[in-house]
Formats: sequence, C-alpha cells, structure tokens
Amino acid sequence: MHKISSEKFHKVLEQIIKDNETYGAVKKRDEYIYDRLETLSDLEIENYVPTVLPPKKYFYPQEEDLVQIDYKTKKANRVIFKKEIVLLGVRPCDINAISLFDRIMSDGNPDPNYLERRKHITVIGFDCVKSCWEHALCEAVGTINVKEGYDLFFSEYKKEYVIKTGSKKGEELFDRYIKNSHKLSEKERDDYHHERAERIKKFNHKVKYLFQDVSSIFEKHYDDPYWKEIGKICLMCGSCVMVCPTCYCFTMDEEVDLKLQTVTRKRKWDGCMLRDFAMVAGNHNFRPTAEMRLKHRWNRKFNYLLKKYHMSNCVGCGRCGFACLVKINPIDILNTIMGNYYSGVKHESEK
Amino acid sequence: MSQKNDKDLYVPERARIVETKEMTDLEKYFRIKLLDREALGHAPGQFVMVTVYGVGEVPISVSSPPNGRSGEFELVVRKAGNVTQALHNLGTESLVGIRGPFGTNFTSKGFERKDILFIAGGIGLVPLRSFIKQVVNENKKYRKITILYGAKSPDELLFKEEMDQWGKKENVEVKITVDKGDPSWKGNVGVITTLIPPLEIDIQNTLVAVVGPPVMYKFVILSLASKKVANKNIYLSLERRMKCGVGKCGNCQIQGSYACQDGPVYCFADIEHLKEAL
Ligand SMILES: Cc1cc2nc3c(=O)[nH]c(=O)nc-3n(C[C@H](O)[C@H](O)[C@H](O)COP(=O)(O)OP(=O)(O)OC[C@H]3O[C@@H](n4cnc5c(N)ncnc54)[C@H](O)[C@@H]3O)c2cc1C
Ligand code: SF4
Ligand code: SF4
Ligand code: FES
Repeated sequence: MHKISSEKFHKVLEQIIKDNETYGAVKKRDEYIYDRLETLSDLEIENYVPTVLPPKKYFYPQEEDLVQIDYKTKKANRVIFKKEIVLLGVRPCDINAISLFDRIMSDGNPDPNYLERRKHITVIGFDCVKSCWEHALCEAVGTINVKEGYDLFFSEYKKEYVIKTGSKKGEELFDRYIKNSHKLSEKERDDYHHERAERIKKFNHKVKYLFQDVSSIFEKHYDDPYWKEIGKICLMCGSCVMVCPTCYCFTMDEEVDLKLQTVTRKRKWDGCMLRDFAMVAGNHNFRPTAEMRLKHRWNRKFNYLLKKYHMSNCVGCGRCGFACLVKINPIDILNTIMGNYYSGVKHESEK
Repeated sequence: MSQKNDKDLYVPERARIVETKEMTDLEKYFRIKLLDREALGHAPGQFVMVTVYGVGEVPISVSSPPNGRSGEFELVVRKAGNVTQALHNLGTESLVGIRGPFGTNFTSKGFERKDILFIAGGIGLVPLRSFIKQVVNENKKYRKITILYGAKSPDELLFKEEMDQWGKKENVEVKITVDKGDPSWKGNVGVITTLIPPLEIDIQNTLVAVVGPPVMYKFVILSLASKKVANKNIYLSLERRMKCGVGKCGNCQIQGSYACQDGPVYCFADIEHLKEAL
C-alpha cells in the first residue's frame, strides 16, 4: 500500500483523463450519471451520490450485438468488442457488482462476449468516506470493502490518498502514472485501517439485523406475509431491475439489415419484474403476480445467488429503493423479513 | 454434454432441413442434419436452441433417440407464436441454426430387467418420444414397458402409427385417451390421470417418466402418489421460458435452479420441496 498527496492525486487523475477515453460520475441538473470526462472538473468526487444507472452500462450495455450472421451463407461469427476505456471513480458498491459480474460471467459456460469486452475496461475505484445517501446499505451487506473487480483503488486518509492495486493492469497503471509515492509503514497501515473502520461506523446502519444469516432466513420465510403486502403495491414497472448494478437477466433478439445481408443477434436487458419474463407458450405464466416476482427478485439477491457466489447479490447501492415509485426497498425488506423471523411471526406455510 | 466450444456460446451452427411433414393443424415434423458436424450427440430429453435466421431462436426438444441416422435428428414444432410460426413456413433445403444439445436427460440406467412407465400429455409426447424409442428399440432389456398418452381430441394425436408399432412388441403396452372423443373414436375418453388407477405398478421396480403441459403434473403426481410410487423413481421434464440455454439469461429459473442446466429433466425427489416447480 502506498499513498500520495491530494495534489498529486488530482494530477494523476487529470493525466489519466487526458490519455484515455474515460468515464465517470458527472452531475446533470440534480442527478448524477456516468458520462465521458473531458477534464477532471467534470468528475464529482466529494459529493458523490449513486448515479441513475450504474457503470454496468459500459460492460453490459442495455443492448449489445452478440453474433453476426451472413444472411446468404448463414455463416455466423461472434461479435468481438474491444474498445479500451477507463471507468474512473467507481465506488465500492459498484466495484463489488463488477466483481460479481466477473464471477457470474466466467462461471459454468463462460460468456465470451462479456469477457472480451471486460478485458478492455479499466476500473479505477474511489473509496467512500461518508454515506452517500439514505438508501444505501453497503456497510450492512459487506460491500463497502473491495477485494476484486478493480485495477486501482484510491482511499482518502488524513487528507492524502492511499492506493491499492487490484490486478496486473493496476500495477502497470501504478508504474506509469504514480511512480514516486510513499510506501505505508506497518504502523501507518494499521492506523489507516483503524480510521477507515471508524468512519464506516458513521454510515447509515439502517439494517437492524446481522446479515450473515440472511439466506437461511429468506429460505425459511419464503412465504413471509411481507411479500404479499408489498406485492399489493408494486407496479411491476421493472425500474428496480433497470437501475440495479447486479441484475443481469437478458433476452435475445434478431435484427436484419435493410439490404438483407446481415442478421445481428442482440442481447437486451430483461427483468423478472416484467410481464412476459416467466411466460411460456399457451400463455402460462409461472410468476403472474407481483408478490411472486418480488419474492423471486429478492431471493436471488439474498438467497439463491448469494449461496452460489458467496456474496450478497445486492451490493447495497440503494438505487432501486430510490427509483421505486412506491418505495419498495432492500432496507425495509431485510428489516421486515428478518424481524418477522426473529419475532416468530408465522408465515403462510406454517399456519 | 453442453457446448463443444465455449467461444461460440451464442453462435448457432448451420443445419439443413432434409424432410418435413405436417402432423396436425398445429404440429409440424422436421428432420434436420448439421452441416459442419457429424452428429448432434444428444441424450433423450435434451433440447436444442433452433434459430430461424432473422426471426429468432426457440428451445425445442430433440424427439429422435440418440444414434439416429448419422448426423440427423428430429424435431416436432407446435405453432405457438412468432418463431415457431416462421419455422413452420420453412421447407426442405432451408437452413436453420442449432445450438446445443443442452440440459439434463432421461436415463434407464439401473432399470434393466425392470419396468418403465411413460406418461405423455399432449405435445409432451414429443420430448418423451426420444426416450420411449430408445427403450422400445431395446425392449428385451426391460421387463414391462407401459406407455400412457393423452391428447385433447383424436385429431391432435401424434405419431399414431409409431404407437401402434410399439404396442405390437410383446412386453410393450400402449394406452391412449382423449379428453373429448369424436364419432369415429373408439378408444378411451377422459383425462390422462384416468389411465393410472387401473395400472399394476411394481413400485420398487418401476421407473416413471412424465412429460406434459404444466397443469398436468400436479394431477399425475397425485395419482402416482396414491399408488405409492416413490418420488425418487419419478422423472419429469419441466418447461420454462428459455432464451440462452446455457445458464446465463435467468429466464428459466425455478428458485435457485436453472431449468436449462439443472433441468429440463428433473428427478421429482429433487424438486418436490421446490416451490414454483410444479
Ligand atoms: C426445454 C423446452 C423444450 C421444448 N420443446 C418443444 C418442442 O419439442 N416442440 C414445441 O413445439 N415446443 C417446444 N417448446 C416450447 C417452445 O419453445 C415455445 O413454444 C416457443 O419458444 C414459442 O416461441 P415463439 O416465438 O413461437 O412464440 P412467441 O411469439 O415468443 O410467444 C408465444 C408464446 O410462447 C411463449 N414463449 C416465448 N418464448 C418462449 C421460450 N423461449 N420458451 C417457452 N415459451 C416461450 C410466450 O410467452 C408466449 O406465451 C419447448 C420449450 C422448452 C423450454
Ligand atoms: S418494486 Fe418498485 S420499481 Fe420494482 S417493479 Fe415494483 S414498483 Fe417497480
Ligand atoms: S437490489 Fe437495489 S440496492 Fe441492491 S444492488 Fe440492486 S439496485 Fe442496488
Ligand atoms: S435459458 Fe437462460 S439461464 Fe436457462
């Protein structure tokens, strides 16, 4: 671990933006969005609030070409996307989401389109020194800490910046842009960790129960009455899915160009809150109600996929709770379901 | 059993339609041959993703048994919407795209010299046919083979001649029923579950394979339960919406299980507690 002065930190970022196609959080009216950075002053550092859409849009765009097929011969080839870009100022929640995406996309049948695109994306993270907004629960689900998913990571420490490298690419960036820096002594390192832990203590902490038992509680309370309650108000609009940094369900579509030369197979975001998602022929819908869909979405986050990938699949950014018109949000969901479990509230299948 | 090369996860291979047959108003039969590869290499109960170029891709079960005519396999497609309609419009010599085979399969392993009971409802016969043919072709390996098949009406019955052929083998019994008969229908009338109570099932030594529409399973399972068939001897194939076939898109999820990878063929004992499954 090394550290640099605040002045140097700003110079390094300026240089990175100058040399690379760089994207980061930019303020547009009263919202933040990920957008192209021309200079460092475009980037919001101090007052960051989660962007409307997470940086997912760069490595898993809303619509992406997967395969191109020659219409005459029907010979098909995978579309190879390799544009070098840098994402600057990615926060711990979103870094954890990227790390999760990396695991999911390389698990089982690796997704070659994702992995190819991902190789060309550099992730430079910024730590959060204070809670960004009241919707966040990163400290509760354990995503305020980062282990993977970034190349370089900057964390403020006594008006200076501590730097961590998270990959080979990160080490190269370090050599190229930072060079002279102060290596933290063991004592400084301990002090940094201590100070960081202290500042996290001042975060929201709105989730009232210990997170570690969440998946077994969600399983035991599969029929918790809360699902019915929020099922009654949910609009099934899918906004929660669209803003989520970890939702990755998709559909595929085919498009033919006007000259009838090429068929393009596209991947498009889909979502389990939407009408047709679980519909099969004969108009049979396996999850017709909002209650069933909410149950499914949140069990993915806190149960099914948590068990499979050994980390919370809600990274606690709070975007969904903010986007939802009827204020359905993970903090209330965790508090209610875990609360009902601990207070012994009976659920459907126990009655 | 999955993809031959993961670099091509979403890339369809070319295949030629070598024969088609209209089976009913809604169902059409296709015999298909891969262009650039010898054999599909599937097992009974597995499915392929079929591309109609420029229209889209749908999951379709392979209806022929393994080791069919080299490199060829059979599909039966019901007109249900956009892609399946477009598939119906294709004739011999047309090219389609194929990905797969995907998913789990039926197996009679462990049931040699024992009984096998097949239960097919409606278009469920199509996926089950692959397994039925595999077993019936080697009927001497088994003790008693029973095939129950139900359709809505006589004109919706599929593979009638094949059924007759199978029924002629000494240890094979075929029982067909329709929900609603017509003047020329001489056979059973009633839903498929009416065929189950009269059966003599040696519950220790019978493998049951069930495929049908979602509504059928609950009733068939109840009938089998009243016969005391053990859940571990019941296998069924679950239909879900599928877009990728390779465990990525999430469409096919049943709780934490992916029907395209952990299914479509499940042992009932493994999913009886899985809410959402049946
Ligand atoms: C494992 C598996 C095996 C199957 N085997 C066969 C078979 O052997 N023969 C056969 O005729 N059909 C089979 N089906 C069903 C077939 O895939 C659907 O009928 C087909 O996808 C409908 O697509 P479409 O474009 O024609 O219809 P659409 O125009 O898309 O829609 C028509 C209806 O089909 C539903 N649907 C759309 N996409 C899918 C999908 N991917 N999976 C399921 N339902 C969908 C829609 O919700 C709608 O209700 C199988 C399905 C699965 C999952
Ligand atoms: S939970 Fe809220 S955002 Fe999500 S579908 Fe329901 S109403 Fe829409
Ligand atoms: S579920 Fe909501 S809070 Fe959790 S990661 Fe997704 S958008 Fe953020
Ligand atoms: S069909 Fe895509 S995950 Fe199963």
